Amino acid sequence: MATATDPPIAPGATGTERPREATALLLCARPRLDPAQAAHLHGLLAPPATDWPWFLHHAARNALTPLLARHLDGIDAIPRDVAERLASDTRRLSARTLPLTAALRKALAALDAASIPALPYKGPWLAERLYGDLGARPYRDADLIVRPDDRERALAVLKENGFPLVIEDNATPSAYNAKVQAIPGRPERLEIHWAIASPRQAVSLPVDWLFEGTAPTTALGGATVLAPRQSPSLEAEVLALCIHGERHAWHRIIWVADIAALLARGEIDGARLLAMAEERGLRRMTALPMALAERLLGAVPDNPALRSQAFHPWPKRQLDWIVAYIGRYWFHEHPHRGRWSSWRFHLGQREGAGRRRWILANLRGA
Amino acid sequence: MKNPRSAIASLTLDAVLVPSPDQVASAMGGEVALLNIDTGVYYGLDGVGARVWDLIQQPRPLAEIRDILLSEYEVPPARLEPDLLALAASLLSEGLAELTDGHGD
Repeated sequence: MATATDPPIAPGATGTERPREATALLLCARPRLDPAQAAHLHGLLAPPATDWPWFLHHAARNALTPLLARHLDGIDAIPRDVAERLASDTRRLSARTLPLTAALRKALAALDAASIPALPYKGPWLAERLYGDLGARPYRDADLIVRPDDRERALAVLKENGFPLVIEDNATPSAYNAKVQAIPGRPERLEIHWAIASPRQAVSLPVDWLFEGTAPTTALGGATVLAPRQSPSLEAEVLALCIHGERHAWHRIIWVADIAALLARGEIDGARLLAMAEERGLRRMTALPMALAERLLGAVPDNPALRSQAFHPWPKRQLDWIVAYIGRYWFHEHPHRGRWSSWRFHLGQREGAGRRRWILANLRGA
Repeated sequence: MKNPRSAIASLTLDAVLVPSPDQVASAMGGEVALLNIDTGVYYGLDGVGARVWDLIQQPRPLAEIRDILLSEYEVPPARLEPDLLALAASLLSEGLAELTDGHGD
């Protein structure tokens, strides 16, 4: 991976009014800091000018609080009250994420006992795999994937094992996932996915791709779970995360950091990923987080086949607009007004006239 | 019972502890949060306790952990050893760690 200075991290393109603090946040959005990055971070946070309330607030909005706690641990320049708040925020997050992880383990074990293949997805699975710690990445829910044909049986098995289906008030049944109660009396949920994309997104990914190449793996704090180990499941997981990120307009830095960290692991077959993305009309959707990681996190994969240019060469003006659009989520207080920006963003991620027409027809956005 | 009381009571520096499979933990920012999955009880370790948790991720005798801690902290062995054994006994009795036969390398 590239160092912090090659290429430079350039949060200015996001339009932030706090470029120093924004740069520090972007630096923290990675599993580990190399010595050059650590020195850069120390320099950025040297007293007296850091706007700590802004820094901590935007770290939380971007799901980076635990990584801040990791990377700022031991830096003398961190004020005592900031260090204490980081520690207490991290403790509070762990009090939510560890019980969720425990619930996910129990759910996966119940499904395995019923011979229903199920995969952990996002949440604690990524936190541990990419960042080396179950609490490194906050999550409100924990997710798992089953094959579409196993959907009803999986929900029945989960119900029998203490995970009842939750129907939120005024919610219409989802076409691609369901929520079950994770812990009695608490608001956290397990999300059971049998499809990867919302129908509104006008794209899809065969769930079987995620299961081909899986194997029993030690994960989630020592459990044995089925998980991606080889092609094509490894590449399909990247595509699934790209679809998820696009759905939410990549509005948290951690989602881009996840893609950068996945690509840095050396497990992904670039040619295979490109072929799979092309087959499903996902080249742009896959290229965008790569481009954001390269441009904003300074995370350029050593393997040229895993760089954004290999998937889709974003015109500079269009990428500038996208960076400014997403930067508004990352570093500004107020969300976008009106729907035009949202349509422009989602249209720009679609390939083919049919998919673009679908997005335009669904005026509420993808 | 995975960690019989007799084994905990007779714990020595030859003992090798590893994390229990029945817990999940997070170690961010110098503190460790632990959850016993079976009981749902939540625990926290900081300072030397967090370092001990880090060290038992690889199976090694408590004597080796004592030596590492003595090299990292200014503390006399006579004070460290009983504290280390007490922490190890707590981890075992709370089901957060278990005894293993030896080195895992």
